[in-house]
Amino acid sequence: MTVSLSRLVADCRCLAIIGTEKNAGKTTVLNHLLAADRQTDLAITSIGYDGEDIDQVTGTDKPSVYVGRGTLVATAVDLLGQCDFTRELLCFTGFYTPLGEVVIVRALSDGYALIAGPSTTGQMTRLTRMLHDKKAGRIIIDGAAARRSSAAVSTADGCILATGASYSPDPDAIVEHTAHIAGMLTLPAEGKVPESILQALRLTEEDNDKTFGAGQVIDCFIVDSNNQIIASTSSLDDNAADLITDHKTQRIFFIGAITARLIQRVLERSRSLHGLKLIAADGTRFLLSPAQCAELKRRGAELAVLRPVNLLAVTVNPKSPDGFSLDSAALRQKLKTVLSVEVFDIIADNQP
Amino acid sequence: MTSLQIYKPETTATQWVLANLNLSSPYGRKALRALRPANSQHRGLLEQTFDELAALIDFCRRESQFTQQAQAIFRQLRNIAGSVLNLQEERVPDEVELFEIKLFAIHFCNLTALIKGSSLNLSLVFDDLQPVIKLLNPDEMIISTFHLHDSYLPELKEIRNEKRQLESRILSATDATTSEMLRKQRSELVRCEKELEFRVRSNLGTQLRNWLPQMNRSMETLGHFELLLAKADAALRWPSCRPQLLENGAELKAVDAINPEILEILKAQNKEFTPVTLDVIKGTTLITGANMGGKSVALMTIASNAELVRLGFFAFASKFSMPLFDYICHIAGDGQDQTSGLSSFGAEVIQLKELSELTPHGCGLAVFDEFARSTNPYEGRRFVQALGEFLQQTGWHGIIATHYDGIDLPDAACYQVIGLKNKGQLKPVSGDMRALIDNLCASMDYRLRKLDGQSEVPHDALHIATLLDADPRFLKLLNKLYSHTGKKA
Repeated sequence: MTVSLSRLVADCRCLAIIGTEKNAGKTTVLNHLLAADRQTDLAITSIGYDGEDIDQVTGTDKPSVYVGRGTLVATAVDLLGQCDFTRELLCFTGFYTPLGEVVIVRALSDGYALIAGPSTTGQMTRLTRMLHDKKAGRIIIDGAAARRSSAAVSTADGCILATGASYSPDPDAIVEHTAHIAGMLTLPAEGKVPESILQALRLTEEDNDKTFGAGQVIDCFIVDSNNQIIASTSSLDDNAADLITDHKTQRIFFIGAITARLIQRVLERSRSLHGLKLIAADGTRFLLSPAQCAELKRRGAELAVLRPVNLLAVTVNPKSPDGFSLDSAALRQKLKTVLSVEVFDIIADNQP
Repeated sequence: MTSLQIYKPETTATQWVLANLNLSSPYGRKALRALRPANSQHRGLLEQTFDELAALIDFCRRESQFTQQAQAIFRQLRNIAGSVLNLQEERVPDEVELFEIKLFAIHFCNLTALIKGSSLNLSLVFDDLQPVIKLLNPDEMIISTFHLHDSYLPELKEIRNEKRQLESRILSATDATTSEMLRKQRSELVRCEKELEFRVRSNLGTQLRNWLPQMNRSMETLGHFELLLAKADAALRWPSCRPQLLENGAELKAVDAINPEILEILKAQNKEFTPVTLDVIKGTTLITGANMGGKSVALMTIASNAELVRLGFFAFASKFSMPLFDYICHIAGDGQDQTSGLSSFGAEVIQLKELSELTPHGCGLAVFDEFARSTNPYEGRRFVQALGEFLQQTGWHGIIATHYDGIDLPDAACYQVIGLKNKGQLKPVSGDMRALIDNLCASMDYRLRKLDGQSEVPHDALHIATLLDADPRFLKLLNKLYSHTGKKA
């Protein structure tokens, strides 16, 4: 190992840790970083509340994140009672979660933390600003599975992707899946974006809850080479695929997700997609299978994002919650051949 | 002045003023929700409000930064009613509730200090919540954060020290077994710490309960003061005066009254609001005038100001006096409600009936904007004539704006919108609708003129239509008809 994971991410002011799946070892990575880098100006929060922790709340397991003294923790008030570090309440944030308002507290001792932060990009951006105001030097955002981590990767300036045996007992399947997600995250940036689309994006990110249940919203825009919006539709609309194939030499911007269902219809309607460019806010919004991506590419379509993610490293957890364990070294080796970033196994790397 | 129902303003202009008050704390907004119009029984209380408001306005005019400083405090206030209720119900407060109460006490004391440090004299009593802060901030230095301080309990300090040492050992533990054992020991200490913290919180709760009356009062005081400050702020934002409250039968006299809502709309278009000067007698006051001459705005301005005075606001006028009305009613023919099967005319009749039922309960101001406008002119004129006579009998202060001809009310006060200027030279400008309307506004004198004799209705509809650039073929037909009846303008 040339350089340690904590050293690799040391310059990152705001780091997101996301997983390919649940049990991919996100929390292990988080705890490793918290222990390896005990700075007093560290802050930690999470997007929303990760469901897997609930079992640990109700069960016998301890809350999983172990923070050091001095760390700032932004979490929902209903979870404070289950955090076991001595603490000082610093301020209310005005962001509400199903577990109550998010508050910023300072750990006056080491201890376990249960963390639920805001789930929208707009709120997460404001929260990180508040944490920096409270003198946080570096913020770590505990993300979720990649497809639910838009708020984390959009806010952070660096990202670690955790992957592992929880996805499949077949190492090749894990490698393909991980490479696919890493590929989506690191899609190239689209430079020329109409201002109205950026505005629409900001508006939805300000508060996702408001658009929830609103039915079909216009979230798909066809933009010509002069950067003018020439058509728009809802990606849920039955005719969206027709509209896209009718404009297949143009750029198509999506405010929300690009779904497998929509892309399947596009692929069914047109053989050549040469000149088509599909653009989303960030790589987490492409909810496509690796096969679909390959097919899009083969037919000449390009994918791009408004905010590319700075993927710093991939970590592997060779152990599955089902009990089996893969060969860590072999898995890492395979991953390295398809990824352009370093691959770590926190547990194996730190074994004496 | 209390009732469970939230007061619904009678006029949209009043609603606009209330919605545009500078209120940012939950307490100020609660005070606004509890606001009720005064009636003739509350003269003393209302005068007292005006005394206080006058003093505050004077003060804010001199000390312009005071309002901003106070508002900065109001913006930081959170609603602690829930935490206070929990205390009242003898629940042990959690740390978030204690933090909320501490922040509230700090902000409240800051506001008290701001007021005490000024020359402002208020009848409101501000309790001293310093002891509450002291209780939740045992250190010398007051900080705006909260934690269950070591000094609350000697054992707490001990156990935390012990825990901290153990945590250092966990950190330096090299093998998993030792680490696991130390973590187990730590969780035992955490349990003890939580127990001790519970004792501290429980104890703080008991002590805070002694301050419940002060805390409850302080929340109300804050609300009253913020609302009063918002009223002063409104009085300074627009031209205003202290209204004079007169005896029951006296006339309402408004000099240069304004309607803040319309004034702001016009300001955004670089136009000026023409203030309304009008005396409303007990009985009928009749306003006639050209279409688009501002009759509705004049009515709304008077009704809304009278209503705001009842709510304890300064009148938006250079002079304003009125009897303290027991009710105000604004009937504008816009009460059409198709869901209940009422046409706009039907709604007017029903509203008049409801208003009549209030007659025995003191004196009222009733304002009718183009009563019976949607029925035919033949019957409409009779409805307005009857309404005018009815108002004189009921003893209301009634205003009727109408464009029906030949209303004969010998004892009525009659006003007319001065109307179009230079009628000979009027012609439409080229351009869009906005330009047409602007041109019309420029040609219109919105002021009211008192008539000595009977009301007369100007026949300006043709002029207005010309100014609005109606279709030439249509205008030609109109002109032909006017010349036939000998009324060509």
